[in-house]
Amino acid sequence: MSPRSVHRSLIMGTVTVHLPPELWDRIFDLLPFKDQLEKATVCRAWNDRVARWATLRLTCPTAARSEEHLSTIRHSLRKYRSFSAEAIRTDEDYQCFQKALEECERKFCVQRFRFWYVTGAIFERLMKEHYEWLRSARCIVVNLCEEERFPVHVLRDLTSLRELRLLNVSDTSVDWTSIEDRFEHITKLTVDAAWYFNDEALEQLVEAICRCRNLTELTLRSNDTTNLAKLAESLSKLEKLSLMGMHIRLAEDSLRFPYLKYLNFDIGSFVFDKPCLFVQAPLLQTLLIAKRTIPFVKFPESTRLWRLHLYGYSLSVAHPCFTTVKDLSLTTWEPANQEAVVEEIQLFPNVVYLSVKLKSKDCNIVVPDAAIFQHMTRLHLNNFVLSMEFFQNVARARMLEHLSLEECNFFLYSPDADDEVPLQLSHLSYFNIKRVSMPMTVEKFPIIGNEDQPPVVMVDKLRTHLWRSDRFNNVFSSRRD
Amino acid sequence: MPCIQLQSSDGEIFNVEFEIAMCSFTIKTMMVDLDLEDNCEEVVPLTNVDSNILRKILQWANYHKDDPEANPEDGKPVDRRTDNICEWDQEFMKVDQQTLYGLIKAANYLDIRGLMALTCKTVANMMKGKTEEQMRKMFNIQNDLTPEEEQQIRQENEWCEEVEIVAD
Repeated sequence: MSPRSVHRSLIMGTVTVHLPPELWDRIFDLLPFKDQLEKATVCRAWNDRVARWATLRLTCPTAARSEEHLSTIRHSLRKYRSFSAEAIRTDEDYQCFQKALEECERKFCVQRFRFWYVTGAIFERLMKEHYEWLRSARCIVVNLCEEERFPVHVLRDLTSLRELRLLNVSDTSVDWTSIEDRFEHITKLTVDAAWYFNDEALEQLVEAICRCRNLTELTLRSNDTTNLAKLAESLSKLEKLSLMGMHIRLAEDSLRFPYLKYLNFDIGSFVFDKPCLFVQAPLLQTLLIAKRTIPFVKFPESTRLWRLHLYGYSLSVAHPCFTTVKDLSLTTWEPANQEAVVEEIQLFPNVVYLSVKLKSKDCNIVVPDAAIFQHMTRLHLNNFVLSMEFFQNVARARMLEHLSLEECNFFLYSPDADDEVPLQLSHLSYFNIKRVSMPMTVEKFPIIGNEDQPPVVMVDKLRTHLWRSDRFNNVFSSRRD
Repeated sequence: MPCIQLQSSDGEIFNVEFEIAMCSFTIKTMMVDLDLEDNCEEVVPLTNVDSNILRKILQWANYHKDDPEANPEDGKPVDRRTDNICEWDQEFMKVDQQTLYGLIKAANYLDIRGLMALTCKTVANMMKGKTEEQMRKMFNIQNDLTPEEEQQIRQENEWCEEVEIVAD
């Protein structure tokens, strides 16, 4: 049977069924990568399919390992489209990779390249010696490892390139003008500039980004960000924008992004020249922003935010955009008390999916009364103190469909409850715990989900970074954790 | 309530509420292209769907008729979770494998995105945690790999990681 016919003719008992390859691709796409790899040995065709999702990753060059690389590549049955080479810092490292790189170039028509922890000089050499291989790249990711010149000009003739990620660019003298209008074909760009208040370098970078007129996704991480209005004027096709960094100097009072759907405004602090920033993004659906920043940002009335992630210290004032939010993530640093957490949740009347994470080393906030979550279907809690009363109320009112708990303590669990029958949350279609701690053994874990849920098992307490109490000897997770 | 008539591949005719039939983007497009929106007399032939499968699909569509319309352009990330199947759908998918595969193919042909997601998730859940031998038995697949090739694949898997973005 040929590899292709395995997919075209699957026989279920006495019944022959035919599923086209694209449907198998959809089904495989739903499997965790670990499962996909495990399924590769079922047959040749399934092994081929795995190559669609797998990156071949060559690391740690040593003479012995380079032979291993070479042997693996030579005998490979897969047609990889994604390739990663890591930690090439010196000419000696490069020599170790050389044969494996040549073999990869001969065997694999790669579309996605990742060079992780390489120097600018090594990247330039890679580009020169393997230009024919790299010229068909659709995506290149480069993470630079040292403060030295970054040869951006070597990218200028890669006309197939659609996505470029330059990470840890510390060279403030990068000659962005060398690419001029050559980057118009790029639609996704990430620049992570490790600069510190170098205005001139930043302005040149922003100028260069503005020339990428077909960008739909932009991520710019810098310690200082300015000239936002220019970005908005030039990049009218942007759908996804992430601005990350320590500071932003804002001279503008209005930014217009007609197609923007996703905005990550992860800025440590503002220097405002104006009282507020009006973000005219009528299609905006997802916003990630600091709690202390959101009061200064305004949106048109027509904006219908669907997903919101807020982080920072507690929030007590509502914003007009909160009323449309259905999917909310709240990350609170050093929350004052349970009342403050409840007050914050109540600012969002229409939330259906809620995630609350408390970022505190010594958190002792008890989970709020279950009634506050009654209109929700999905709830994720992180770093709360759990009470049996909460779960009893969830069971009694048959509330929620999905419940997940992470890094929580059963601080209020009574030792007298040892002989009690575990509480069953059979109405939940999803119940998952990760690194929940309590003093009891796994047999005494007081809650079980429905029969389809994986059992709760004990895990190594070293896996929790929020371990706090010596009284809690055991850490539990659902088996799928 | 306006209705349209759908004819299965084995000739059975189903009188279906317009609103329910519109969960299929294929039927929706067909209605617009052929200008059938105001013509309830016309029979729409569905040559790739037999009556048993069509009956099941209409049962599913009737239950989900008030769900928000799936729009792949709405900017939401692709849902790769398979553990978020509601109770009704779980019951609905308790069918023999012939019907399950019939539903996948029909959902694909009729372009019913919610049903497509549900059926694919169900097959993915069937596959999870199964050994290679169980998979071969389940899908009646012949192993066309030599033991050496199987060993090579296992070894190679250690050099693989998940691609962040599928290059198109």
